[in-house]
Amino acid sequence: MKPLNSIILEKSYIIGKGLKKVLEESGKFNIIDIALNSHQLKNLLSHHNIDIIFINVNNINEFIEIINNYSKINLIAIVKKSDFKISDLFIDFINIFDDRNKIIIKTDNIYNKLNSKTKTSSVGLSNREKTILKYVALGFTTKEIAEKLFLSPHTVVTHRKNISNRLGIKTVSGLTIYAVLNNIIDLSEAK
Amino acid sequence: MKILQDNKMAEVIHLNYHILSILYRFDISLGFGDKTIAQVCNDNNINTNFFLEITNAFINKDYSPEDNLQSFSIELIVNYLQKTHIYYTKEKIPEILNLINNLEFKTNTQRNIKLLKNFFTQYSNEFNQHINREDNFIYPYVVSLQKAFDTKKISKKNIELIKDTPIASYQVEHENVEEKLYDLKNILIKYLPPAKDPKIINTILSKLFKLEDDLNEHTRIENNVMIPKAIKLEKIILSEINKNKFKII
Repeated sequence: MKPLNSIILEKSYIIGKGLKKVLEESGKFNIIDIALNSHQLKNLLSHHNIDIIFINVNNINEFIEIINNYSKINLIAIVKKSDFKISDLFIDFINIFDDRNKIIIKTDNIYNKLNSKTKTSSVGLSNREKTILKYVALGFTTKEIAEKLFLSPHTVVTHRKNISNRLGIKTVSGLTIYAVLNNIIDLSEAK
Repeated sequence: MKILQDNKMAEVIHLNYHILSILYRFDISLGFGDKTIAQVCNDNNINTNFFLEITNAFINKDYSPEDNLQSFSIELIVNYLQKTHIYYTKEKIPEILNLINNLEFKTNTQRNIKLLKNFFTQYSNEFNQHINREDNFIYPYVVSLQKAFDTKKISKKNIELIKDTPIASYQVEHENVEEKLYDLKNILIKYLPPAKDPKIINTILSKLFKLEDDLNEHTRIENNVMIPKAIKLEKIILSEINKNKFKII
């Protein structure tokens, strides 16, 4: 479970800080910062990979132009009523007057909605991936693996990225350990 | 909360016991009764403000020490960073290696220990290389900038260094070392077979998590304090050399 990188755009100090605390408590959101103006927002967007912006619905006009430059960002409205009519701009809304249980259900929903979009299956590696992992563990470079398997280097890179994401192991030596533990290669073959 | 010089040192430790490792690095022994932070620092000849900035930055990730830390001499900062290096290489890493050696698994103990040991030794070698580069190259360079700035004298060699390999060219570099630590945690958590004594694995993992936190803090001080400060010095020195304000030796 990876927390979603989020920004809060809210000028009220109490609401901003409060929302940050609540979202962090859920463990599902990594609040990069609370932004108050377009300068701060631009700065945050250019330095971080942001998944979500929680934004006070009254301020949307001030920021929408900047946000539109980033197509993969999802917007959640911060509102003050429970019967908020959600527009196409937002994927959901949070009502600041909701009680704890409602907020928890809401944040879980938001998280699941976004996560199902990017989820990768966690049931081990495909056969192709296992073959590539084997060659990586044996010490072959991306280029050499591409030649051996008649693939483009680009495809091999993509497979390698997927393997690392799925296993949670990024380095070649880490992947080698995984390969030995799962009998993909033998200890004596490991470099 | 922000820790202030009039807070009692003992109370601050109750608040956050991680401060113990900072005390250790500053060479402050326990047994200070009800003394305040300022008193304890005085007794130990430590710059109280510097101690406070480091401590506040350490316990509160939102705290930005950048502005205040800029007012300390770069030598003080480098000195602290060097001490943390020794703490990692002479204590933390050997501790973890020692624990790995004591592990026993329910299956394939020898093979698994060998894998882990090789991996961790590799990690520690890379870590040492990285640290040696900082200790032998980057830190002395940064200190030499401050010295040049203070004395308005600079050697030809150092001018070349500023022009050819300014501090900005050293930034990041931590990456591979960080990734290995991340991998090791996942290998222990997700992939190794159960250990005979799960306590040891848990101890190793907590030490790895703690080491990671410590390293992040260390990097934060380097990237947010030392490097910006050095960049500023480089700029001033180069521009003043052009105005003939420096004596070239």
